[in-house]
Amino acid sequence: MVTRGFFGKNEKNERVPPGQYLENRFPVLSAEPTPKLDIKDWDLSIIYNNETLAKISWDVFKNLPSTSINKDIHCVTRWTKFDMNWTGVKVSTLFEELDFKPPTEWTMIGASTGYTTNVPLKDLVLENTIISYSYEDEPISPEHGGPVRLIVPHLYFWKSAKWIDKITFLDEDTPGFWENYGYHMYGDPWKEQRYSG
Amino acid sequence: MTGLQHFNNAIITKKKIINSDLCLINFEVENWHKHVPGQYSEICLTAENGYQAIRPYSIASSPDEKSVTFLIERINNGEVSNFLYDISTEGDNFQVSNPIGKRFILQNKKIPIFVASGSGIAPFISMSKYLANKNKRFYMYHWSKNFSGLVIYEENKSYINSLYFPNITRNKPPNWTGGDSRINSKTFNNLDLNNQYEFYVCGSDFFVENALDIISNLGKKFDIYTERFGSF
Repeated sequence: MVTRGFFGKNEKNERVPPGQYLENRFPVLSAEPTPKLDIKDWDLSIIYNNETLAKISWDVFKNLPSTSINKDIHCVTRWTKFDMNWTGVKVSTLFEELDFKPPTEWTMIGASTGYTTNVPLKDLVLENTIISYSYEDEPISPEHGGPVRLIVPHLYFWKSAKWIDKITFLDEDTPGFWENYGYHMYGDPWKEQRYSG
Repeated sequence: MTGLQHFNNAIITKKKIINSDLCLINFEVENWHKHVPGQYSEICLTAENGYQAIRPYSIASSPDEKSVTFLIERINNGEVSNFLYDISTEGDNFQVSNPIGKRFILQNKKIPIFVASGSGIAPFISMSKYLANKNKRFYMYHWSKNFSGLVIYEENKSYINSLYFPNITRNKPPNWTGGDSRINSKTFNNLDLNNQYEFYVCGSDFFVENALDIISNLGKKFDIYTERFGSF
């Protein structure tokens, strides 16, 4: 159904997934209060069966081989922002450096705020999935998930958990915070996997 | 599971300009699924070349009403909001999604307290109308730059079971008797902390963070639900 008088400001762009619009700014959206965290106190736990298999302090993490990515980011609230530059450590690199063998195919990413989101292991160890501490060559600001957040650029941005502090391995795919409120279990923006059902 | 949102045909039945930034638009939506106060819908505009622009808006009508109302705010370079404010008229056709959202919805298990800045009042228009119809008690705190931005001042004043605390931070009308300061540590001094409350906060990221700081310093743990505009 055509909307009378509407011509659209945006040209169609192949880099913009269906139902998204191009945004030049970086909107702040969070479900919970922004925590005030000191990066020196940050650490990351890897958990399975209620057991902490590894705990990586900031001092160790910051010396791991770093990677910079330039990716388009797509938020389920319909904005897409091109060419966002993030620096951090690939999850695959982290596992290699720790000589860590993932025990299952499913993970739940956890944040210090209690936020959770499920990410399959196959997506977590992709080339461009990083645990990031820098955006556009600056420390990530608290409202955007600093000091450390996950970046899973090929999925909707709610999967890129802010304030990450744990990766919990699970025996089956389990919904996290937004997934429990009806968001899609996987969240592929190119398939518009916004909501379940 | 397709994950795709379902859109319904909708027609504008009423448009009310509130001020140079805000308007209220009523839609009649085909096959409307009754919403829960606090939910939002997406409005879809379609150009002749097939280009579509879709944006989410809080529903500002009570589920008891026949039409579905949205509070639209003009924003810099706002593609959908500015079209709706500037160009749309009664009788125009759009598509409106089924209601969305299961988190920022009225729980109504304790006394609801609504805390809004600017057009963050939208979901609370829905919630307050719904509660007022049922003679349920609630508290409403709203900050606006000017009087017209309070949007439902008269309605809120008329709800006899509820307490209304409007605040105008810039252009106060003569003889204004409401508040005129920003949200601060004294804002909630009138609450009896022996009561059970559920807080709902809606506004810019800055406002929500401020409000959360203040509520968390009240010395008691409350249920708090937040909704932020995608501020920058």
